[in-house]
Amino acid sequence: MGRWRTHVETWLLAEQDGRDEAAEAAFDRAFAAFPSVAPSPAFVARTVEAAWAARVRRRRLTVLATAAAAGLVLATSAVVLYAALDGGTTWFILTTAASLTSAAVIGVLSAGVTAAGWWAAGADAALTIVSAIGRPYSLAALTAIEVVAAIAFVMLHRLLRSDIEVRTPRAYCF
Amino acid sequence: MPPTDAELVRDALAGSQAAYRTLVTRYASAAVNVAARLVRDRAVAEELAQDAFVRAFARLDSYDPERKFSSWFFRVLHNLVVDHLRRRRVETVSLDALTADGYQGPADAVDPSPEDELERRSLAAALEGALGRLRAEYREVVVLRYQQGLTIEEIAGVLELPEGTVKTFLHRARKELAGLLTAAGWRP
Repeated sequence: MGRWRTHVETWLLAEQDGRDEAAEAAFDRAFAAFPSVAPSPAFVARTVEAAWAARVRRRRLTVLATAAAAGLVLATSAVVLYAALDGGTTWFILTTAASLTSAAVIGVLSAGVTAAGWWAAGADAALTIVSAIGRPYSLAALTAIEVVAAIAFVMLHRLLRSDIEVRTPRAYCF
Repeated sequence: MPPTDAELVRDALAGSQAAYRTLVTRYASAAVNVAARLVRDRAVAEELAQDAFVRAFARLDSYDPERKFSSWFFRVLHNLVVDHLRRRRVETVSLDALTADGYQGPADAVDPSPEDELERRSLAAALEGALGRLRAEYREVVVLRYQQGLTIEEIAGVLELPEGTVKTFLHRARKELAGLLTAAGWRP
């Protein structure tokens, strides 16, 4: 009888007799029969390359997201300032519309691809409100914000495509 | 003296690709082995192991140097394997398919005789079949304990289970394996 069979029989006997420590020690020896699965020769090189590429993408994404957020805040501020200087009853409605749109776009930046639904809903609401008021300059400003946001979204989507985990959409409404 | 895991992590965080490569080399075999025993597909195991390394690198700044790197890394791998097992139905594969291109014999094998090698392969095949019939949780604790040599405490950290539960899983897994091997003809 070879050593492997001896290890197994020692283990099985110990299990039968309820000798736990002896059973564990014998099982440990028997389990050494299991061969290891060696990684393929290119595994390490491939893995390091993938990790470094992901690192570059993450850094690029951070720069882009920061730039897009800064641009959005500037554009929203410009619309609010314009509406405030223009005065009248449109001020409150326009700032609400701008807040909705920017909140939805920030939702896209932080919650990923599935937040596109929220962004679209926000954009629709904003455009409906502004078009109802019928002020061409306000409409143009708000449209400009959404074009910037759309470009940022498309670029982010391309960068995030392989990395992003899709999460349940949440309402990011201010 | 080779650098410690904590030193390699520190250097990798500072941008040293060589340090990260050393870390991957150090744990590649363990990662592929653990994944292969759980998902029972060599190609998928390598993909999961690679994903685990990439994900670990992305989160390297969250690694606590007070903790063993292997425990922290196996936690990352565990989450990926669990997600994979939930999405796919795990099929049984043969031991030969799993180790075809990369068999590494047990550490204590010193010029085994043909009879010894035959007996080892027979036992390995029986264990492989029996292991495949265990619950995924039992299979994982067995592989982490008896193939990777993790302590109960480390396994508890990896799987985020109480130590008592890990001990119970190991005990039950061993009993089930004993029953399965006895039924397969390996009797005391």
